[in-house]
Amino acid sequence: MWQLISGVFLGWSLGANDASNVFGTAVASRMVKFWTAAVLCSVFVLLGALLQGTGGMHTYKGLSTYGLNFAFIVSLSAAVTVTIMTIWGLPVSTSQAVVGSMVAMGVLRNSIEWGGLTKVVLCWVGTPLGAMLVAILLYFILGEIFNRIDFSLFMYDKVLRIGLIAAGSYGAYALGANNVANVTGPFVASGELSPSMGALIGGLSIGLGILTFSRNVMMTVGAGLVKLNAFSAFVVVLSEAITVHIYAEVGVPVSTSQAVVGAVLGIGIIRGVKTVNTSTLVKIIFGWIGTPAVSFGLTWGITAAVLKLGIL
Amino acid sequence: MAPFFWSKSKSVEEMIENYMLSVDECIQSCSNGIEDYITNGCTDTFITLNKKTHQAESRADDIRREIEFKLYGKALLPESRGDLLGMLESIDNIPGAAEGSINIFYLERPEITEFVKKIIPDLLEVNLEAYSLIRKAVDAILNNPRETLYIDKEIDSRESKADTMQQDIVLSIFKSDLELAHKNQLKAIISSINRISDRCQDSADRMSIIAIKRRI
Repeated sequence: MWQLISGVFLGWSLGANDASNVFGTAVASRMVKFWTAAVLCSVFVLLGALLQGTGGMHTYKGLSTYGLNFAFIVSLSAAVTVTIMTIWGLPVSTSQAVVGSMVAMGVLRNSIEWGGLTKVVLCWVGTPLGAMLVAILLYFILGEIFNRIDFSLFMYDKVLRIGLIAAGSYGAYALGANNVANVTGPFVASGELSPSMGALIGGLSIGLGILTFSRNVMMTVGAGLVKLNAFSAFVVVLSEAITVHIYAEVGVPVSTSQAVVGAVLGIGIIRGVKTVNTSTLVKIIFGWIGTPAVSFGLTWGITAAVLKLGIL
Repeated sequence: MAPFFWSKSKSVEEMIENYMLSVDECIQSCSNGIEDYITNGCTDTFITLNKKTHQAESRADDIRREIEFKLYGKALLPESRGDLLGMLESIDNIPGAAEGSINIFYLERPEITEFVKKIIPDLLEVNLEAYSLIRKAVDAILNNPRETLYIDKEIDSRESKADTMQQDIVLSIFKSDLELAHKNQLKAIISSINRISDRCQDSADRMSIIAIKRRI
């Protein structure tokens, strides 16, 4: 089972990258201390992975089937891709990296399930759009509630601060529930790991990534991308959490990064203001296109090489 | 986590209340001092009240700095922090105006002519009314911000009334047979008293913006 190292590596890079989507705004604007956010995020990611994380693993089983050594290559390529993007400070989609790798493997071994892939890609498109819709709805509903209750300055502050922490924790739960399949899904798909053991190992490795390496991307998301007031930030995090949680229920691993950007754009539509820094958005879109492409290329290259050399 | 945030912002609230008590004392000492001067001239009582005004203003400054330090220590959301800092800085101009006003009497020892003597208490009263509304506005911001918008309108009406009174007094001063230097001195005194309501208006506008910003 040494091959599982690449899964743990991927979990670590996922945690380092995706924690920014649930606590980035709060940490970068100093509403919540990094360590408070990191500990809460790790605990709730693990809870989400253990309680609801197995659905996405079944979806990955439907994408392609292969043995443990190929699962190792899939995870390794995805992990390297996400780590490169994390070092560049880009919040990218681990799901896209994993699927890019799995598709490369499927194409090479002529074992790709196009039906499963179509479902996953459709969900990718649906993620930002869904988050945008949820954000618009929540903005109006919660806005009406906030307007009816004439909060004092300090109460408004407390409600939003607690709301941000609660929404961030829920977002972390949804992240664990939805994305743990990215980490150990390929190993579960290979039949070498039970779904619950996959959820435990995946959840722990994501938590490790959050605790050790997530600060950099949190700062990019919080300070570079979003120019929001506290209420809008709260709506964005909650919308992202709800959207990703819905996909966890459906059993399709999606991108929390795409959900966040969709929600931010939703706020922009309502308020009629520019909420997204264009140059950062361009970098993120580049990351979205580049992520599956890079992981596809890496898996293709590694697999072709090992097959040619007769290692596997 | 909640009790920790609670205690920090509670302490800021208490500090703001202490700050406002010092501003109250500053404004009241200034008003009492000026009234004493126009009735009795530069007496020991006036000098004591001038000193009290100055001390209260300094104390308010110290408390404001303490609050700012506390706010920079991350007790609040960044936008609330910025709003509170802006509010305190705008309020801080009010005791500054009061101190400046009574200090003119102390430094220049002006001779107040009879017709000006009769008007100054009324002018002081309107300025004090504007300040007492600021006190209400601060309470509103801390408890029910929407009310700030109504209070802002009331302060605006007091400020306009004070402006009209100032115009009339200055007109009377320059119609009189006083020396030009004396006229200018009295004009400066009237302007300095009225600066209190001007600053109250600025501060009320600032608080209204804070309340409006929280409408979603």
